[in-house]
Amino acid sequence: MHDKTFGGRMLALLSSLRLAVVTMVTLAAVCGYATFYEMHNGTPAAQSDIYQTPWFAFLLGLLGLNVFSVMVSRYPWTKHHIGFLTAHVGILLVLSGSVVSLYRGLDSNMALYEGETSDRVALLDRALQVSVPGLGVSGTFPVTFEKKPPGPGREKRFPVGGDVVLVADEYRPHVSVTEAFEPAAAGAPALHFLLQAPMAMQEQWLVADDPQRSHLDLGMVSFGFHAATSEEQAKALVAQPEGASHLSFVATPAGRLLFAAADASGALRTGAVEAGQPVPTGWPAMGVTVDRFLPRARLVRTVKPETPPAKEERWQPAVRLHLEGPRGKSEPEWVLWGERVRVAYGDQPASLAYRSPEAALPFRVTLLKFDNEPYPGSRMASTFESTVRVEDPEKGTFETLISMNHPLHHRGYIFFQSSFVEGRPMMSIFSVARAPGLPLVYLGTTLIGVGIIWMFYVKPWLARRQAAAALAVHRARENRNEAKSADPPSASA
Amino acid sequence: MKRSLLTLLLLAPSAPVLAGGPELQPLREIAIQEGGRTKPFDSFARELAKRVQGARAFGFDTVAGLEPTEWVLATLAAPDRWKAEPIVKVTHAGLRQAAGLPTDKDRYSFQELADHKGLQDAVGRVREKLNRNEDPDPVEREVLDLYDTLVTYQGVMSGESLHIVPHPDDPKAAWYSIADLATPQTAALSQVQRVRALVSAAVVAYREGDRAGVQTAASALGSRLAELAPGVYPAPKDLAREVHYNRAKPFRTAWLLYLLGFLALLASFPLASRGFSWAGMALVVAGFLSQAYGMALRVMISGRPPVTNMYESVVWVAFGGMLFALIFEAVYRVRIFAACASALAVICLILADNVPILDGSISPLVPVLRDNMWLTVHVLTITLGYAAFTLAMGIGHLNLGLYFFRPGEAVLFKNLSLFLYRALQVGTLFLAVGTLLGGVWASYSWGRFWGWDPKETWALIATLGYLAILHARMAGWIKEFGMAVGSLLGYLLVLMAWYGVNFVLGTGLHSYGFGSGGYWYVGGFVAFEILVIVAALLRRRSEMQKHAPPSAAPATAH
Repeated sequence: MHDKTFGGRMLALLSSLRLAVVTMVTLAAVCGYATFYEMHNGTPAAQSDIYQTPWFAFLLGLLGLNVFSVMVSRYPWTKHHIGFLTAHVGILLVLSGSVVSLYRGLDSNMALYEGETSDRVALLDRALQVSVPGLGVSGTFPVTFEKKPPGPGREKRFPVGGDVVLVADEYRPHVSVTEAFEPAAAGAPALHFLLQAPMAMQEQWLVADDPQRSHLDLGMVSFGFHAATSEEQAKALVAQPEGASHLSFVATPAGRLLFAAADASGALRTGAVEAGQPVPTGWPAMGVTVDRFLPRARLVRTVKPETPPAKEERWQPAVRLHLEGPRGKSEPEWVLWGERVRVAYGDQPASLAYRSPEAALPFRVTLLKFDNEPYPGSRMASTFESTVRVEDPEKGTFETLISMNHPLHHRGYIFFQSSFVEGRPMMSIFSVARAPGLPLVYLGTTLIGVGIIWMFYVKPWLARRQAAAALAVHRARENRNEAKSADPPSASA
Repeated sequence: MKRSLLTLLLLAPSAPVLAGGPELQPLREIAIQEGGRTKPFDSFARELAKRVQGARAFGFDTVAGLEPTEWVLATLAAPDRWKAEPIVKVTHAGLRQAAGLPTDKDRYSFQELADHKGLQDAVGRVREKLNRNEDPDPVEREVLDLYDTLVTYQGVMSGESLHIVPHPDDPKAAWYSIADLATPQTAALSQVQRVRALVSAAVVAYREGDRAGVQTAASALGSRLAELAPGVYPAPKDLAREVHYNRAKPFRTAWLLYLLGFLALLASFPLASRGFSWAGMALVVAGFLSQAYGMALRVMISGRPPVTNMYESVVWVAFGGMLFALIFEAVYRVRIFAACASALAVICLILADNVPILDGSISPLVPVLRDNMWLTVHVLTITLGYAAFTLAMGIGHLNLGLYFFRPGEAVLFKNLSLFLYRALQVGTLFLAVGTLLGGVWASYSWGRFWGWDPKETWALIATLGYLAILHARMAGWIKEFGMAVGSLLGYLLVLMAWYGVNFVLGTGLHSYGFGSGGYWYVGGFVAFEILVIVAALLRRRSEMQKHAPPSAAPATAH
């Protein structure tokens, strides 16, 4: 402490109580501000603007350095330092365990439908992904458009390879999307129909044989749409029932629209659909009207920027992307968060996506079943639980239950039941984490507790005991001295 | 108010015997399923009474002079009379404005509200908003609350809210209501006709003033329902225990004893009377035992640890503060800890019964709070930290009181500072460890140790605040005065972590505890504290200027 060298002065400064108190108060003040910042700007903003900034890391680092320096400055240590050292080593362990988890850990999500298998997790970051299979080029680019959005005059360019560049020219934190079909020279048949039921009215576009848009299942009734390549096939399709309470539409090559409606008992009615006229489905209390039929249709999607809703979870961000390069420029396309779209880059098909980068797990997970059980007689959830099968080429296959507060630990990965999406089938969402620094953190936590107890209670108790013992020795000696008053005082006293 | 307090003091210990009557006991102990829980009829009636007429002072919950169970029975016996009775209390100004309710009164009859066009429109608007998947604002939540209350009370009259018939064999199924008994789905149940007859018998007996008849019918009804679904119906002793807890009100007994103990201890200081000291300590200990008894009952009834919501945390903090105080008393024998803790406990327990945001009813837990040892350990530890800091804050006030009004008491001032320091030590230990244990729970439940969630961040801020105070004391920058001011300042951080995150910030993962309200209570307290702190600092500064020669180096403020 009295070292006058530069190192000595630095140590004195870094280990000073003044720095400790100033750092603690500053950290507390910043954190307090951050929570209000979070209230107004949302959690991601607080994370990216405060907690995950270099200067915040510096503040925590300063605290760590301060703790470390004060320990060094007390060297050589004696037994008086036991509590002090234990508690302060604990703080360092907690801080360093967090750093280890930050750099070597994993924070991710896995969303599985019942019956689905996956060995990939989605990281929490956002990225642009591009792939032009014909040219053999692809790339993934982590982006933080929430903080630094591209815009007119501020486009962001990402070189993909082979002189192809991915360009983001605009970003919106929230957009609305409306979809419609219009007649086109080529494309699958599409139809738009209205469903009128006593309590509800619904309208819907169906696209023949499209994997996502050819079916609609409303529970009580369902709909399907097929395109026939010949009149014979059209007849065959119409004659073939697809289940009770199901309405099939079939587009013929000649541009006619046929229907086959099965009622609850499975009895079939068939015929030709007339635009604007109710389809005679034979369903009680429900009317179906096809108001538009396009033998060849093209999807037109309108993306419109909107004022973001208060809750950030409900935001639907989108970025407008295109490819540029020797083969020209692709049509700019709005890509919604989580979406992958197909574009044409010159004569090459390409795909662009805005979503989380993924990481592979060394094992596969299948969601067998998801249950959310309410408390009896209420709609309040009492538990969410997922039955999963884990297939690990090295450790074998097993089935287990993951529920709230009962995560699955497997090979350093921890699967937590995080949430779910209602539907048929149900989707269960797990957070998947790997936190290699956790043992350090736990050890640190224990040491802090033990250290504080030692400083506050054990040390004073030992001191009292020592003082009492010293007093006893002193008294004994005085008694002895009185008894042998002639003796000279001992030199070793 | 004064009279009710006096009556309360005189009657409280014997209240359960006098209020209501033994004839209603079998009815109180009939099980009913509501809000995801199976509970005694008595609890249902009390919760409904509180919803209908708001929290009444000192935990009183009679409706128009009737104990809640009798009130529900009376409603069944004479629905038209109770529809017209002005018992529904609506005090929320925003709600009254949104619904356009007459503002010359705050109690309305059921009929008046049910027919009120403005209220109907307000409910319609909120519904539309919910259908659009938007979140209701606080006023709209009040509108929904009032509407739900009206629907539930309507359901009492029609029998639809009274789910007292257990499903014969499925423990997870919804119970049948009295209204369901008339429908075909329950016709297959062999005992249905008998159950219906007994319900009517109880109602008719009550209508005719035949209380013994009510008792006979209700007790037959209870055993009939239990026979109907032996595997599903709760055990009679569990029902009886909860009714006992409702009626005995052990927390009210506790604060009454604390109050008497506090007064005796207060008197013992100037009188230097051993008798008063002993009486005070005995009363305080008796209050503590009563509180412990109440908490034990509550844990047994709910089958979960004692701190799962705001109400329970307030009760727990009173308990923890008293626990620490009694331990300190065992060491120091100064009565100051006990006096301070009992005053604080009285305030906490009275608030627990009177503040609308503190709901003492036992309701089911959201999944993340269930079944978790680390959660229990973390919450109990951290709230014990709050308790110790509450005690420290109390002693801090005492010390600042000395500073302002009895500046001559230097020895006492120093002693109190030592006690204050002891309380701060305990608090820091529990808060630091509890905060870290929160990380352990988080890493267990959410997959990360620390995520800068507002609740954990504020726990850290409070910890850092108190650590700064302890380190500053060690450096010699603050002494007795600084510690006293620090204990008040630090407590504002605790309040923010405890109340503020849930009720002011309202974001983050701890949202299961979020709510609104109580701003006036907490805001008033905070304003008062800031006033005290500023006044103390100003006085300190003027003193320093008086004592320090003008040429000397500027002294540190404290």
